[in-house]
Amino acid sequence: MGPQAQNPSSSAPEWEALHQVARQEIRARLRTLSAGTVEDLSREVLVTLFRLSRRERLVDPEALIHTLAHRVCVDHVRRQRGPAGRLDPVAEAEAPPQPALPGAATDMPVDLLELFRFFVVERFRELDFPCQELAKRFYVEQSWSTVAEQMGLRHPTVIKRWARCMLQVRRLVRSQQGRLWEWARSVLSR
Amino acid sequence: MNLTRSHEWTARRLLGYGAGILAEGETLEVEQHLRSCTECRTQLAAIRPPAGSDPRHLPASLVATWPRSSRLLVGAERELVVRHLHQCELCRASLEFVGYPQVLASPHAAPSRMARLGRRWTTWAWAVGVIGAAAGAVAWLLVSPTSSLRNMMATGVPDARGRATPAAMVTFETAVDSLARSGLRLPQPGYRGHALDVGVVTSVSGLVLVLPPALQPPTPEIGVRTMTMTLEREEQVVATHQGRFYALGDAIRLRPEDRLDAGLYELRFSLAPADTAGKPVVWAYRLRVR
Repeated sequence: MGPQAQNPSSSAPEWEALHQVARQEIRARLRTLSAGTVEDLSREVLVTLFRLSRRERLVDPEALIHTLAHRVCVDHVRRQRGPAGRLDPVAEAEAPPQPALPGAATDMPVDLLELFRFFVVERFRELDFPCQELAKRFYVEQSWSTVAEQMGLRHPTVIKRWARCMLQVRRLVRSQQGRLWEWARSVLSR
Repeated sequence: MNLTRSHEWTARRLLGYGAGILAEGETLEVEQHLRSCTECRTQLAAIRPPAGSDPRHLPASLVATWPRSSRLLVGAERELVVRHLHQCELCRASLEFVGYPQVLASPHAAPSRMARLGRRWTTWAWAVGVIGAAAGAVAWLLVSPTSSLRNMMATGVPDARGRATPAAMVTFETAVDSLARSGLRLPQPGYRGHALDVGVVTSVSGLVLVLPPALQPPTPEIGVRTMTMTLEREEQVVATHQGRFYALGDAIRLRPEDRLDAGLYELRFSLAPADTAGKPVVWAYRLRVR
């Protein structure tokens, strides 16, 4: 962790101490994880916390770490299950690691679902602002009905617009090489 | 469709729905099922972005494992991450926070290609059952000028549909002599009627492109903005270059390592916006290589 990046003011979070809390929280939830994975996940928690701290003053960072640690554990289990696995949260903290299902990116430390969402939003930011607006709203709400309500549009209209937006992304999914696209193809072939 | 089948069918598509990647009809069916199924709604809630995450920024899992994960980014997503990082102060600060450099690690292209070749060869050797013959074939493939392995190494590895993936073997040279012989004058942007015939492009002279006035910075302030040049073929990134706008000079040169494969290419110039709220300005040209 790079303490050199901290704000030196007295109210700045004690990042090293928070990192230690994050490690403990993750180990408590998934006790069979290797030390390297615990380090990756705890750093992921800290990055999210750092971003939050840039947006607002953190009132109770330890409580936030508790929530974020739970979430990265859920996400980690989902990544290990791969695109063919179930999405429901971690059932047993001490459960032995499950064998990876076909298509699981066990050597890919990044969350491919998050990376795919980032790719879509960023690509539309460059090429098509209305599509980016739809993408941002949908990725937050995860419901086209809610997005349609927010935008004052009919539900089928919003879905039709989105389908048009995604035409070029779906073309990329079919043609591009790399882990992200292999993942997207696995998701589509289910 | 009965309820049970609909439930299983939907459960398999929840990840695709959450990624927004499903086709229109499937999206409608999933939403219809979600209205009446608590279990599917619970599963979907598990992939809702957590508080603090923002799809407009690099995923926290990418930043946290940057030296390993940035190495695995290739093609379009790698190019996008490079551009984003250049423009996004928060993502650069996040990398600095975890003590990682603000540049992507070199890609892992070569090992995965060799690994794929290795798997193919192992299968072949087992089928024939003669290891010595396989070794002989290896030697022949490496020395024969028409061998498929040699062609594959020059043009890329065929994908699942048998099409070759172009390898990144073209470099961009900026501020070259605009009076160079065989330089091609690019028309003003907006000229998209037909592809520009650029003839044969080899490693000897490369392809010199004299830039139109629109591709030269009108003011010093605009000159310091980042210009990204990308050469694509069949939606695959062949090469990319990033630098200051002013550094382009009057002309640029595309120099392939070997002769550039014949076909249609797209050359894109993307000028970063003045601030993060703005949109980049993009110019694109289609080039026909013979």
